[in-house]
Amino acid sequence: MLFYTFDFAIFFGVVYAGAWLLNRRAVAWKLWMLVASYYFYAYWDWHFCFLLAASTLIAHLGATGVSLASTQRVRRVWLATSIAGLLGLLGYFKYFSFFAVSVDNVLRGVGLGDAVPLLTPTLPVAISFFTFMAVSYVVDVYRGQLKAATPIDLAVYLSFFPHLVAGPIVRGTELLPQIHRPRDAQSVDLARASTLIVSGLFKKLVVSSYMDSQIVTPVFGSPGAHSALEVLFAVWGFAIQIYCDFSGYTDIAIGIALLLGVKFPVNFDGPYTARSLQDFWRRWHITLSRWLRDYLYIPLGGNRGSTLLTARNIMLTMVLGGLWHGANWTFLAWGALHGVGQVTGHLRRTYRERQGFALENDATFAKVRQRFLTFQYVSLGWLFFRASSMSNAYAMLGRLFTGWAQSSPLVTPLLVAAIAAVIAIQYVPRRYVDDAVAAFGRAVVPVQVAALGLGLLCTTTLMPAGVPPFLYYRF
Amino acid sequence: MSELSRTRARRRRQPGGPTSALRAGVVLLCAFALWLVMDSTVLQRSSTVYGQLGARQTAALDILNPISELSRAIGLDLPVAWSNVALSRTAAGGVVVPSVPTTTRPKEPPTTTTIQRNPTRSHPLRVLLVGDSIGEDLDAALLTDLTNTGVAKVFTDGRVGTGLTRLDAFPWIAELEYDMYHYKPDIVIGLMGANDSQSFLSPITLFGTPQWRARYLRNVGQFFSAGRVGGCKMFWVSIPTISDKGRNAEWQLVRHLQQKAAGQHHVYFINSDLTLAPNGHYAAYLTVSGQLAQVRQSDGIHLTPAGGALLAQAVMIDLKKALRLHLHW
Repeated sequence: MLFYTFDFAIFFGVVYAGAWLLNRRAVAWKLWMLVASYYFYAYWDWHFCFLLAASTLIAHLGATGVSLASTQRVRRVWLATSIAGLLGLLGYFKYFSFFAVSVDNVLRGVGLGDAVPLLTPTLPVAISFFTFMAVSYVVDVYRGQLKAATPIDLAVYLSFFPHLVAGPIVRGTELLPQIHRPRDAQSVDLARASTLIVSGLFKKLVVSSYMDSQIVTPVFGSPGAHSALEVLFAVWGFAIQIYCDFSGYTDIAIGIALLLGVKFPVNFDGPYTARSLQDFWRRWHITLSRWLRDYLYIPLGGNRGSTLLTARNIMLTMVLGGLWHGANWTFLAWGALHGVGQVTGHLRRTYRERQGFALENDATFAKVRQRFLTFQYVSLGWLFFRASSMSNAYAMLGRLFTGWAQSSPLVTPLLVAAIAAVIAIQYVPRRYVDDAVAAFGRAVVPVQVAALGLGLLCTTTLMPAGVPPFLYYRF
Repeated sequence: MSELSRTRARRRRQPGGPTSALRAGVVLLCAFALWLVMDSTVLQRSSTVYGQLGARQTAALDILNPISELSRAIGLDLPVAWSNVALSRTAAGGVVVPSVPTTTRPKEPPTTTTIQRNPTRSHPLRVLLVGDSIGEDLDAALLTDLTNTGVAKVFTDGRVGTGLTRLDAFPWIAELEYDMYHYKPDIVIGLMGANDSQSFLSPITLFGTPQWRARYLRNVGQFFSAGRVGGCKMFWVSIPTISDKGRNAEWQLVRHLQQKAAGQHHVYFINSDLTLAPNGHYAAYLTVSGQLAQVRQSDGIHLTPAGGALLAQAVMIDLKKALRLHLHW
């Protein structure tokens, strides 16, 4: 069930009414939310509900085992076993085909035939997201940051429909307490929630869809048939598309959760205003960045060792972060590119620190230059991320150097204005947004109704036909 | 007064602060209702055009019809209608295909070919690729192959979720007529039909019945005629066998009727199964240039880039052979 469909609007109306009616009855509320979330998930394919339930069971057994274990060694065994189980499920559904084809091709090369069976498991929606949440839950229990939750609390935590499909990746420490205690029915942040939902819908349905149909799909589909300028704008267009698509989705998810009295962490914070790659990762998919930092980078050693070890840890984290998106060389290249960029930034900071220089040059021109270069580097990464294969990526890159003699009919003034506007909006100071939200909150009911209704109308009228699904659904 | 009550009272006094769940629910419901009334003519059209026959569509229309009438009566549909017209759509949000000037409309297709067998960079072969979502999977690779020849100018017109049954959802025949007028191709290559195994609406004609077959054959025939005007050569690639056996049986009827229409309208029919299902049944993996590759996506329907490339190679060979073209890619 997609957030922008009529079906979801009806579903949410029913869930909203039920959730607030049952708010004071803890068990009933949890059961209601569990049934709603599984129904939401089953809308894609009911078979996947068993997978979600299996992940929940593994996480529950792991956390309970960790909690009840008498020795550190036994605790570790429970932790490792449950993580292996969770990642095993993820690995099978997400990486098996890639693995089987690669291994069989190697075996064919040495005359051993196809030893690995060629299965085609259907990739379940959301598996990467709920697997990471389940892993973080078990690890948090192991680290003593969280007490093992009851089975129903854990099941609601992992399946809670606003975050289920594409995040944000919410920690147990953030969500479990909100599930456990009743939410304040007198304190629903309607203004912020509705602003997030309408702006999220606009970003996804209008801006992202426009970028996709106007330039991204045509140019990435056939770089050789397009000019260098079109290729350049397709790459920038994809940077805007993926931002509007993914941040639009999380805005809606955060807004929906707020309407149910639940707060999610922020997932995007003006990522294209970043002055460095490190800054970018503090602003882009924040919940994944901190997951990678806390459950991968720091356990690997973080920056506690030598410069070489730190570089290794950064590279490993970014490459694995890339592969989290799927088994494809393009994602690996995307991760590696960010890894190299981050390592370079780390070396630069270390050097400046040792030399006693200021870490950042805060002159206006320097800031503009840093932001421009960071955006270009990030866009280069998006080129690999979007490409269907490495040869497609190379064709795009090659075209940038060879296709300057052609005309560029796809680069229209509207396209240029849309790209510029999305980037410019990220520079709007937070307080202006907060003021606008507060003004909406202060307005009388008819004004709120009119503003929301017209906001929705504006979005549905401007959206093009054939809106593609959210990009992050396939991850 | 408890601390909790004091906090709540303070929050209520705060300008723009949180509100009660009841009030929030009322605002959301009213806003949704406002949107529904103002957008009802578009929603009504979408339900009619994109919906499938059944209880769901009937229920949707039972709700939307009276709302739409009310909206029209009080003029609340006008802002959306004006916006749609400004955005080059019909007032109810439908697709507007530019019409072909009647003076330039070609007559019946000539029987002799006008294709040049040795296209050059200055006189390239003009190729139009049309299709649905599977067609787009093929077109991406075909476009690369044709562009790589250096002597072909390629135009694409792919529409996801469309086909030749529900021309009320997307007017493919009018679209192709305009494409032919606008691009003046020498060759049209199409792959479409994944969305065609469904009933016709207005008038209702159930899928698979003799009436459905006759109507579908007519639609496909008209589409093929549109693609053959001006001596243009047309190639039609069949929808490939899919993993779902039940659905595949339905698709078999679509394939059969398309092949029949192709024979009637002198369209080259390319059986995609010869490439994608070489053993007579669905294959997710095939050996491509000695390397094992996944050729179908995990939905068991669409083509992976490797699958698209494989099928495009087969189409290029057939194209070259059938028209005795001198192409290198």
